[in-house]
Amino acid sequence: MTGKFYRRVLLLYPEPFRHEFGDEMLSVLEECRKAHASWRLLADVVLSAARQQLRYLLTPAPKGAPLYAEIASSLDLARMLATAVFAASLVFGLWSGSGKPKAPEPWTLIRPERRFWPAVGECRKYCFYPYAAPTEPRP
Amino acid sequence: MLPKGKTPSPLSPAALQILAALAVEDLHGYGIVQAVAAQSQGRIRIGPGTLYDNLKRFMEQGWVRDLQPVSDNEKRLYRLTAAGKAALAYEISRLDDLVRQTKRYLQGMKPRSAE
Repeated sequence: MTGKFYRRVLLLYPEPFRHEFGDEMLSVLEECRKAHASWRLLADVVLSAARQQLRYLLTPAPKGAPLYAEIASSLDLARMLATAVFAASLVFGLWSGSGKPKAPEPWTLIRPERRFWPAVGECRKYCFYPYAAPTEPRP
Repeated sequence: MLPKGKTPSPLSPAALQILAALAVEDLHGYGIVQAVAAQSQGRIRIGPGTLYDNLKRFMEQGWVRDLQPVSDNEKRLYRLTAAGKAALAYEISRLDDLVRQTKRYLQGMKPRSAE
């Protein structure tokens, strides 16, 4: 088993532990490879990683820490919150968009071939303003 | 002298060997592995997982502290603190009592065939 493999195995440890001891552990692993059997080293590291993960999960977050620190120290919680917010927004969007399509507002009844807002004079020809009835008969 | 706080629970063989190795001199990680193998005549060989598990726990308990290297070529050394020495002395005295009692019991026993 190569150093690259052990580097990947070290990813099993919680991030603070890896940050503190990762490089040292890798160098000790390199030295121990000469004397120990590979499977014993691997079993030792995997069991140790499991113990550290358990300790990390059971250790309560420090009180009075700022919000960003709590989220950074518990990635799973942040991921769950983000997923919940996304799911809630998705459900709300589907719920509010369902049902029969609404009738267009009267002021939007512009002739479809007019792509731009017409000039003031043309407005009376093509637009329907419910609040101001046209004084002249339409052509 | 007992360490501060509650009475420490018995140490595991690996933890005892690590503390005993650090009681002699300051050592880096692989130095501890070698020292443990030497003082147990090769019977106990600790891996890096066990070593750093114990070192982290000892550092949290204040039994061991690390000496940061001055240059990049040096390795981080670990040193036994006064609390660590007290914990080791407590454990050794506990084991010493156990050995003495067991010896006394064994010497007082008569073989069944002689009864």
